[in-house]
Amino acid sequence: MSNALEVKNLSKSFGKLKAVQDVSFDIPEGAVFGLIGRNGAGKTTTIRMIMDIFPKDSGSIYFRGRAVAQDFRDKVGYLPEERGLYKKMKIIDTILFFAELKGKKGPEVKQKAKEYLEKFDLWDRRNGKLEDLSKGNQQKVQFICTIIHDPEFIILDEPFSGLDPINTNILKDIILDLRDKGKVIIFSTHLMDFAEKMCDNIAIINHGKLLANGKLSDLKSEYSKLNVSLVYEGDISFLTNHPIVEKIENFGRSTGIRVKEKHHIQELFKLLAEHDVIIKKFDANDISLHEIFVNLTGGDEETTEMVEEATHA
Amino acid sequence: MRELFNNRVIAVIKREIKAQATSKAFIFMTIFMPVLMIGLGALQYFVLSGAGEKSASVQIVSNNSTFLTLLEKELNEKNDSTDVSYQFDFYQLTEDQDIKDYISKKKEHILDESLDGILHVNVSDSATKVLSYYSKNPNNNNLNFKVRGPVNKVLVTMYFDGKDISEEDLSFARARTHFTGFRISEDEKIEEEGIGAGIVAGAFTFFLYLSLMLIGMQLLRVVIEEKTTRVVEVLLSSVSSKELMTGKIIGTTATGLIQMTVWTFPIIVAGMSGFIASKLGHFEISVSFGQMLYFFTNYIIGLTTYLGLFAAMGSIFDNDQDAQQGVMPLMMLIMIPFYICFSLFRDPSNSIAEISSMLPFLSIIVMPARMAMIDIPAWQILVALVSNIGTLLFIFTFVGKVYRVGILMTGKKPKWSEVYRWIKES
Repeated sequence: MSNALEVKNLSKSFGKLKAVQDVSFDIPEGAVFGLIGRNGAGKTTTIRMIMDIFPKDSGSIYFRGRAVAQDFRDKVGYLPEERGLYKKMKIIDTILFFAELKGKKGPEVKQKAKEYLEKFDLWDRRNGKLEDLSKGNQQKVQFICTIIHDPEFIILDEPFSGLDPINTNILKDIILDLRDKGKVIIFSTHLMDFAEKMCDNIAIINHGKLLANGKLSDLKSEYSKLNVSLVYEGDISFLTNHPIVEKIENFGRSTGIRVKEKHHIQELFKLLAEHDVIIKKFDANDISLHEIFVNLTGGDEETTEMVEEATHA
Repeated sequence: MRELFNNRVIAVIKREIKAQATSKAFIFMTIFMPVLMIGLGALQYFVLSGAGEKSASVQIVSNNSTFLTLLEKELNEKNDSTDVSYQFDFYQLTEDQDIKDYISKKKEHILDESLDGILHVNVSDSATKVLSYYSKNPNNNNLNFKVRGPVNKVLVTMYFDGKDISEEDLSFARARTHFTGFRISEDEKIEEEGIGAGIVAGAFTFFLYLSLMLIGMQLLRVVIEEKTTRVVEVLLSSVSSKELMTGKIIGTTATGLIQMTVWTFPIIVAGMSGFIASKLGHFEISVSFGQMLYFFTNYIIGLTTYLGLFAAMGSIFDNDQDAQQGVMPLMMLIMIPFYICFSLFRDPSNSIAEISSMLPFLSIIVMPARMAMIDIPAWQILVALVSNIGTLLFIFTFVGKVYRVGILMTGKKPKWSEVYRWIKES
């Protein structure tokens, strides 16, 4: 499948801090693409460079083979991490204004605004001011503003942050619905569960550097070669510091064990049996995105709020 | 330049005009200001005329009964029925009575304010015209203005009475001098100058000052609001910061123009229609088409310049309090020419006003006010225009850069050195 967006060697520094370093990834047509990383890993900075909100220091971004320009921005619906709309503006005016910024106006857009507002139970309040809405409803209006112009690309920066479970589900359904319509969806998140359920392609960044990128299924099969997802009863402490074990991570319901060589998986199975560990599940083909992420970032617990601080300084 | 007028910029312009021109504060100021101006004018007239002061009782004392009789007649003739500010009574000193004794006798009344003062006029053969006023508040200009004319007239009449002098000579001697200003202008017409020119200059000064402040602060608040509510990031996903700033400044300038047109409308009507002008008499307001053209061109250039600066300032700060402090230098730039304009009322051709009417920033307020008062050589108008346009172009070489970086900054207040770095680096 051809690529809708290609990001090549993107870099950005704020003073001495290298927020994004030489990041490259491709987003295929029709993909739901997840940009995964901790807070401050450089996700927002990368997205802002794609949107040309921040000028990039170096690198290039191609939209269907051509360097991104205004025509790309016109085709994008962008929901930033930090939401915001004009508080004193009427809801319907707000939606129509953002549509007009994307070059869409007239009865067609008005009809569409009506449909979305009805879908979100907000049609009766269309002439009210945004500040009079609850936070959840304001988020809905913001989301309508993001997709009112029927964008081909939808970029959602941490779309689920601050949403209650009901609104999270509504938003999730809409994203899947948009995917089914063939839109390219890019979202950044630090919530691995959502990313795993919704994305078909991902890029993982940490400290501004790209650690992995590609189809989620490919990544999983690649990383699962050395990984075992284990559910057991008994004592496995003998595995700590064992020569065949690279790392053990406890994920609650299951334990992830990473071995050093592919043939070590068989040895691991034997070792467990020899030590009378009751094996309830031994899955050598399964690895969660969470595990991939932890493996890649090396369990590095250092909180990296540096990028945020640098951009906010 | 042309790519800046696309559908996105137009959408921003439309939103700005709609949001700003329909705000309650804007509507109130636009409609209320002319009413306030007329009200202030009336109040000033009221205060200066001495109307509304409580009635004061003054005793006029003299050694000469003829003088007192004639003065009483003169004051009664001059007094119109609406002026009740002074009540005079008259007392003639007897020959052996000394004024000092009389004053000490009346001292109590003056101190308990049953009598406000005693005005003594000694009529003697030595032909002096000395008036002495004894009061708790002796420096009373109102009383001075009120009585000096009639007293002089009576003294002159008495002095020449019985002398061989014609009535014509006498009336000449009695007559007061009249000071009238005539404006010499290029068009070879010599016109009697009323206080209309002063009114126009005052109004222009006040309107420009107020508009730059109000509209500037309005844009400042809008920019800060966009920054704090983070709506700016959504906007920047559709428009470039340059387009956003352009749309904002054009929209806000248009809002300012609406306001300024409403404010100056009475002056334009009164100044350009001969009928109304003739009814205004001494207050005749005369403004030419060229003058109004300069006024509005100057206003658009000036407002755009200041809006560029206000927008940049708004982008640097993310709360009203910090911004208020930050815009102090801008406020000073608007206030200084406002005060320079006061000097115009003393002497419209003073050199401070003349020089500042051609200097960047100052010219925006001083030149239109000067123009209303006196004829300005064409070269000065040209210098002012070039200086204003030059300032505008210079300002826009860096405000866009500050705005672009500033609107995405939150958190701690940037230092001025950092702001300078934004300009240098982008």
